[in-house]
Amino acid sequence: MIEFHLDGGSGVAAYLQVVHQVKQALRLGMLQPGDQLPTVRDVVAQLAINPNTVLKAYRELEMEGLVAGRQGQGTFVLKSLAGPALAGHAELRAELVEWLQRAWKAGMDDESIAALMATTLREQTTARTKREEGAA
Amino acid sequence: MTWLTWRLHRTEAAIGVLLLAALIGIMLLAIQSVDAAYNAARAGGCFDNGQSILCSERLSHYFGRSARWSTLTTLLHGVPLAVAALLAIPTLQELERGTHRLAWTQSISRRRWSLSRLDFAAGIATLVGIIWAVTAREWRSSILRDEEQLRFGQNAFELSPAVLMGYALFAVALALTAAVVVRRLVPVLALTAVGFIGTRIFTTFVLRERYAIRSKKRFPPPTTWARASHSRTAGSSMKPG
Amino acid sequence: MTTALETRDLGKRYRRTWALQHCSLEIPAGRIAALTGPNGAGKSTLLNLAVGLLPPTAGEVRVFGAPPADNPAVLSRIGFVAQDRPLYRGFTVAEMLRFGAALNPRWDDEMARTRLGRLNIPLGQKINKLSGGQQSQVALVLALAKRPELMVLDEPVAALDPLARREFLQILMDATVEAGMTVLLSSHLVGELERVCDYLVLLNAAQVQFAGDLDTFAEGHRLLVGPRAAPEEIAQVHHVIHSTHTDRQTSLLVKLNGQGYEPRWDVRDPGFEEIVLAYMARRGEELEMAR
Repeated sequence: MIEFHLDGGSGVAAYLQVVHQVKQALRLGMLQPGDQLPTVRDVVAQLAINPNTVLKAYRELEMEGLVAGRQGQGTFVLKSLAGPALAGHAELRAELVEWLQRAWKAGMDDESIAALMATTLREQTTARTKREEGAA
Repeated sequence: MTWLTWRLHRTEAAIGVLLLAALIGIMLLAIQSVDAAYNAARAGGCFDNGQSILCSERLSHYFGRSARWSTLTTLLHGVPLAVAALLAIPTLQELERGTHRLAWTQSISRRRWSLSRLDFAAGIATLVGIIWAVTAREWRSSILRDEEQLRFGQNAFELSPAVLMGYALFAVALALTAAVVVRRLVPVLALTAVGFIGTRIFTTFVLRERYAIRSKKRFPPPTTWARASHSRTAGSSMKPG
Repeated sequence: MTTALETRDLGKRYRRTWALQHCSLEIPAGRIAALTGPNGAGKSTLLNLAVGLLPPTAGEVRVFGAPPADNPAVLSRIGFVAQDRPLYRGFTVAEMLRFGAALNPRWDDEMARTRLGRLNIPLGQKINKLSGGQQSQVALVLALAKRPELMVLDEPVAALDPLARREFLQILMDATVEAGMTVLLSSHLVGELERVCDYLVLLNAAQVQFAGDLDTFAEGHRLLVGPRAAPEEIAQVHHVIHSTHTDRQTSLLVKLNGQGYEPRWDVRDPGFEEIVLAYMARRGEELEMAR
């Protein structure tokens, strides 16, 4: 079972925060197929939020095929997002650490590193989308 | 509902019972002491034609005690006011603290809520009125010990059971009305006191005077009539004060 | 969908001032509705009309189709926590429960005791010996034990510290899921409202400014910042909610009407709180313009 935390000042809608946190838990393997998500009542009682917010988040996850609601029992995980990504996690992380050391040595500060990461990620994502569209 | 009304009035009821018990206690003591003096005087035949030194001593002893205690009569007139104040306090607190908003949004009509309060107030006022009337009767026959006064004196009317009950109910109604309109403790108590005492003074000294004059013209003077029909007239000339 | 609370041209006048006027709204059953507005906007008046404590001067108010004033059948379906949560101070918690049981046919004593137990509020404790937060919790449990279908709360968390506020809303939300009731609560803690509510009623100067879905409330609102200009020009195209000026600059919060504004404006999407505050900050002439 996982617990949700809401950031009131983030500007991200509360239901989206719930969706992201479920996905994150799926990615990190904290939730496995067959696991139950907290009931709407539990989430509502814990976070003091509107029940419709939780229902909306769970509906969104259902539409993405990640979870399924069972009448009178609750909402259960169908699919994991961990898979191969999680398996390669440690290795990729080690490589990233190595790269970070080099960046620091080159005299980059943390903000420039973060900016470089963000722009590169954006560029590459766009490029990949274009490649996939071209292939289709 | 009955439980709630009782629970809300519990503290004031306890205070009221204590006050009433204390008042009755004092009066019983007074009655005993005056009765003892009276009996001593009567045993010596002093009320018939006792001219001895002993008799004059006993009589002055009796009159002295009787006069001293008769001032307590004024206290009797204050009983309705005390009852009214004690009955009005819970309602005042209810309005002051806003708990009526809690009560009026339960599944109950305001009429039922108000009636239960009024029934309780009227019940208590009547009960105290009865106790008070009985005490007052004893009081007058002992302290004032005056048959003529018993029937026709000013206090005879003021302290008769029906009138006492009427005064008690009137004071309670006055206090509750003031409570609902003004909603603040001290002003409500002041208004009730002024209203009650004012009304008493008005009826006693203005209204009654007017009616009294008329009745005098139609009937023979009451003293003659009283002398003719009562044996224990001796006391009439010996009334205290 | 059924309607929990409905008002039609509702108005309340105290002596010569209208505390609420021309108020027409419908709160659908099952929603958690927020009632907000600046102090003196008429929030308490509207809530007191809704629970039948005040008689309307004009128009009508209906709860589940019937006027609530002095109507035990309707009152039994309404839970109400008044401002300053009035309780009998000299009573124990258990006596407050007895009070509720005596006055309500649908009273759920077991639920009340369970909830109080979970909150660690001893039944034998006198009300005036409880903390402010606990008193609020007792007042809430009392209202919940009526098994209401409509729960009305007047500034329930205003006097509470953040922790007590959180606990209070947790109980309220939990009970809402359990009982499936409609909630109408007034507050001026705008941030909290966005989290808890899904329906919004905005009052200002005795009038309803907005009543509807909270999701759609922010739609179409833009914050325009530019060199100083009279708002009349843009008001011909868009709906100006609020404007502020310095000697050089003008900031407008507008609701877009159609499309297009001059490129000289710097445009931003305002947050929920910013929009609510703009509606609250409207004064005389802006309200006149809006009419």
